Amino acid sequence: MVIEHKQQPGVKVIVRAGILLVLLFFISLMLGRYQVSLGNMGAVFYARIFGTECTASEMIQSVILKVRIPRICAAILIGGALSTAGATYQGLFKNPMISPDILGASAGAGFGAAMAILLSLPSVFIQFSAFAFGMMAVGLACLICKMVSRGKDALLILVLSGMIVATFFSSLITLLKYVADPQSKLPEITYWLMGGLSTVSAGDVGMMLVPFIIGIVPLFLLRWQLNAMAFGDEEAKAMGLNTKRLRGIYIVSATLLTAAAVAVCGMIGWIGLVIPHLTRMLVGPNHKYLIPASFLMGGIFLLLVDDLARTLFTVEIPLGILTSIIGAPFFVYLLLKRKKGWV
Amino acid sequence: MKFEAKDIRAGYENLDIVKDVSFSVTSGEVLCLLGPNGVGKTTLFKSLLGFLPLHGGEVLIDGQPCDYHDCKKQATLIGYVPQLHEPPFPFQVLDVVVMGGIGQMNIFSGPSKEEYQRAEDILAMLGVAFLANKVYTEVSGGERQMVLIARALMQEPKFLMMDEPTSNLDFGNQMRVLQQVRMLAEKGMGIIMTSHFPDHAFMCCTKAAVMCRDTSFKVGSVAETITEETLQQAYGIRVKIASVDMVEEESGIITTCLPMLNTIKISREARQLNETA
Repeated sequence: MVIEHKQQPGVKVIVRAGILLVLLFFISLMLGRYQVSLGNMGAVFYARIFGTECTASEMIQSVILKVRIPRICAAILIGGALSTAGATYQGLFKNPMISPDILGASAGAGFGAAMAILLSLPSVFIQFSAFAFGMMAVGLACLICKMVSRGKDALLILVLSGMIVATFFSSLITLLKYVADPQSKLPEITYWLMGGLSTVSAGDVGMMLVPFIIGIVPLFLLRWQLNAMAFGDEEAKAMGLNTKRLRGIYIVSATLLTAAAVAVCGMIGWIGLVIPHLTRMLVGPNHKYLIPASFLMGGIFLLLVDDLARTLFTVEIPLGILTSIIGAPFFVYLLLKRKKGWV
Repeated sequence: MKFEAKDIRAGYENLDIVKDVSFSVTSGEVLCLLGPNGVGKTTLFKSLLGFLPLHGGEVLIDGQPCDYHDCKKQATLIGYVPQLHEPPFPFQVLDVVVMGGIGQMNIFSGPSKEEYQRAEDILAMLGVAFLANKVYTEVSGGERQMVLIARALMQEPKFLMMDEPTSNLDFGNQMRVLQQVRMLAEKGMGIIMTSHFPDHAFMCCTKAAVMCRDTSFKVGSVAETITEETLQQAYGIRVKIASVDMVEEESGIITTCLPMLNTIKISREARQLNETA
């Protein structure tokens, strides 16, 4: 009886969010400067699935298959990845005010990208460098924490180390911008850092998929354990969890997601902070539902914002700007509405 | 079963705070750990639970040394009831209780229906079944303490370690918690708890241990350990131990500690004099 009563809200939200995401996927396919009608979209899909001759024009086929589908998939994956990583970090650090870049992943990735741009490397290397430096920054934060805390595992020290590393890499980014050629390289770095999905190709999505899957699978499998981790190390240990190993898995997985997301689309703030919050208001703090729901909500949010970014004006607005412009007032609204104990 | 601590030395990094601590608790016994602030009660507690590495000595359960690396097995032996706290997220009470069984569950699946049922049964046994669907951060302190006890019982441990189970609770709730401690001991649980009130030892414990600032450690039956001299040595104030006949209430003779307020000296020198007296 009671169990049924408990599980309903979480499952309901997840099912609804899933349906909404699928609907949005198809709506987003039709949106854009080049309008695609429902009939044309149907024709393209029909031809693809059944291998028949397509009645829609060559142009429509290429817009849907080569431009919009990769971009929409990227938006869903990145939004979901950032938001899942945010929910994980918040549970792990017992703090609802933490975002996935807390350990320096974004700043490190930004530095990696800026350096690759400065060295005029091709775009594949820009992404790779961003990903590698994002992972490295978090590794550095963990290393500093290990040295400073001398065996005692202190979460606070880890957060502080993350902040140190993030600040360090932010300064390096500024340094690179300062020395970059203001005519060509500086704008390129700046635009990259603002974030956007306008150049995403199917290959980019495929490359992102690898770290994405490696990161998200353990988080989904071990999501229930996060409930106990949110009560602190000692209590989780007394309940029989190997907290050291679990924490390592959570940090590596969430960092993989964050670094992969930032490497593809640049720095996009707010999603990792606001979406887990919003989702917690809908499904409660039980990570069994919070993690999948956060993924879906993050995907929906970034897909919506990206749709706005490419349809609102004739010039595309960088995603990082839009998420913050929408995220900031939204967060104030959440603060005004909050119940006791940060729902 | 028998929980045994042998010649425990514990502390932080290279500093020993607790030395030469030995005691044992068997199933059905309740040991109350008393001592002034900063004497190392918490350090000893954390070391016995394996949160801090032991500097020396060993902890045995039925003669078997504890393997703190095997958290899973450890969780089935010793349950931990932490001091009252507020977690950052508003979990549902039933979710908090069922969490106690996490070590025994398949790591990939959440709790099953049976486990939720068991959590409800435990809450019912503690007389707080009505809490199940409430939000943990919104219930009262006394109720939250019951939830934490229920969570530890969910582990089905042989021993319970309770860190100041009565702290921050009002008088009524303190007594309700102690009553539950007594009930659990009657059911065969071995319990180690810390407290700031010697009275609590008289009320629900079979054994008491007193830690003093000179790192001396006294342990034995409650009547043996909690004497006027020991309390003066531990806390630096004069105490009278009195017995009140409560035959008309059918609860026999109750022993209690009465501090002598008019003799208490606040200054540091007087305290030291008192402690050595």
